[in-house]
Amino acid sequence: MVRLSRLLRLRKSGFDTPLRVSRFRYVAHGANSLFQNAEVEVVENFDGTCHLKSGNIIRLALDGCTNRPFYRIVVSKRTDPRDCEMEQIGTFDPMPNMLNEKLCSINFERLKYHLALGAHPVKSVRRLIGLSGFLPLDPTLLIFAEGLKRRRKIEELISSQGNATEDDESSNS
Amino acid sequence: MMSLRWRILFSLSSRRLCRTVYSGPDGLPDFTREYEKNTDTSWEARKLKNIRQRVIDKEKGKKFEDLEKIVDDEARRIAPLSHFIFSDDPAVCNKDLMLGQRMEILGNPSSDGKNNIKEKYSKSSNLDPDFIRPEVQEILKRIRGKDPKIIFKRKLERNKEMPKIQLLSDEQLKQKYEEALEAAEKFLEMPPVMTEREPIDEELAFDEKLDGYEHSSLVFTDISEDLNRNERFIVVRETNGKLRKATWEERDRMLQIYFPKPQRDILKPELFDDLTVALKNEFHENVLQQILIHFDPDSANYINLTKQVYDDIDEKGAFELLRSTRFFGGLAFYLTKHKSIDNLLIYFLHSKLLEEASDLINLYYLIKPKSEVSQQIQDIDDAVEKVKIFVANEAINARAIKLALNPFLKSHQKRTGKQRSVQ
Repeated sequence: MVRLSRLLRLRKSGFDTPLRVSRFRYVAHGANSLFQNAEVEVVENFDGTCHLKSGNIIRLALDGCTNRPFYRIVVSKRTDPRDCEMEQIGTFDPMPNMLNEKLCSINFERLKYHLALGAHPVKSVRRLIGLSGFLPLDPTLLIFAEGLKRRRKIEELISSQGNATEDDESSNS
Repeated sequence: MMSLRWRILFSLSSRRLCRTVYSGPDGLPDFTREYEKNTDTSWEARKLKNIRQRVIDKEKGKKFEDLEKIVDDEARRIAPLSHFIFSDDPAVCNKDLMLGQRMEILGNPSSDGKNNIKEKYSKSSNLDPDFIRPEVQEILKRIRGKDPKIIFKRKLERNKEMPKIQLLSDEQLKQKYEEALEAAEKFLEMPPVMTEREPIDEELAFDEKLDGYEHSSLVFTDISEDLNRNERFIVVRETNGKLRKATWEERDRMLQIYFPKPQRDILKPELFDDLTVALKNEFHENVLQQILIHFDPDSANYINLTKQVYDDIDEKGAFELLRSTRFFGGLAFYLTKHKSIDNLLIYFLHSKLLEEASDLINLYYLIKPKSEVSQQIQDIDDAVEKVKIFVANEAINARAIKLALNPFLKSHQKRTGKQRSVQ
């Protein structure tokens, strides 16, 4: 009984934990019949809401040579080692090419399939999908970008003040 | 050691963007006494210096003497042309085939069941409406000529089976000869003539908050299977935070990286910067083949480059170079629509091809807007009189055509004179 009240209070007031994107794919009650795949499991929460239970994760697997990374966008389980996969969905090249472009390729059909069955994309993959326009932008990305801007403004102010003080000193001396 | 799979993926983005630079006359050491005296720097260091200077000078626009050699070598390259290049069918293009399997599909465009031009190209909206007409197509095929010495000069197709030896009579030999000529028509398929494609300039979203997040732009391509090349989404997110669709050049580059067409380079060869060097030595056919391989027939580059080649042939009068190849139809069509036929007519009359000359004039009046003269000409069958009427009405270089007509006029008068005397 204590737990129920605490959950209700937190849900109304807002959670105290830092911002965290939900790992689960929430689903309507009694949605088991909609999925033809037999491996899909619908789990009922303590609230009464339902979500899909799947251990699949979409993440970047690292390949390449020393000082030359190259990532593959990959569907795998959380317990698997970094470079193992169940299916490869795309690629990402973090080093810009001659024309200052970073190339990324995504197989959106298979992405849709795996997202619908409850796979959880990791922060880096979420940012890429948001930047491509397929899904809305990740909140972590926007917060990071705002912080970047503020830091750069502060640095500019400091450097401008530093120049001003140097000019004063040189004119005085 | 790198496994095959991620070696390919790793190299997709980086390999083809490393261009080899000709290092100049100091590229290799002489191993003479003077070379050995310069012990301050090694010859490798001097070679690197040369390369860096050449890259800097090339960006500023300096032209080197060695470039002519490179361009000449590129022009001499004989590239086997594949029908893959025309088909936008994803079942044909996107398959990860080994070379041998690809060549089998190459040689049978009619086996797809698509003989009609419009069905073959997914971008059929850009096809020139005058080019599609079956009357025009028939005339262009007749004009082209069918000299077997030129058609079978090079190896056209990989041998699927071992060569057979047979005993045949003379009649059977002739049959086989004609069958071979008919089978060779698939290699004389004309490349399509298209109007220039409209530029893409669409903005999907603009997020100001992402301004300054990245120092370089991101390019996203859709890798889903069984999609037409034109229907794929290729999208660029710039450093502003602006999401826009990719331009045609970016599209061509990305599609070549992820769904490559055979023999096409991402960085185009230096041939196309300056065609004069290649055209001096009469490599028009090779140049046209390479243009077809590297560019889509829609693009502005293709249209400009083919214009240059056709204009050069028109000025020199060197129509023999393209006779009985697949490019003659494009030449004739371009000249009738955008330029004058006079030089072509003179060539036909010099080489005593009267039927082709009459066909040409029919072509001209099919394409141009109708007038009183066009109806008169279609009734006439005699070639000489057709040419006379054409010269009287719409020829620019009338004198030269009349000079070329003279040898035919005497025989023509004799024929008509005889008929009158008989009557």
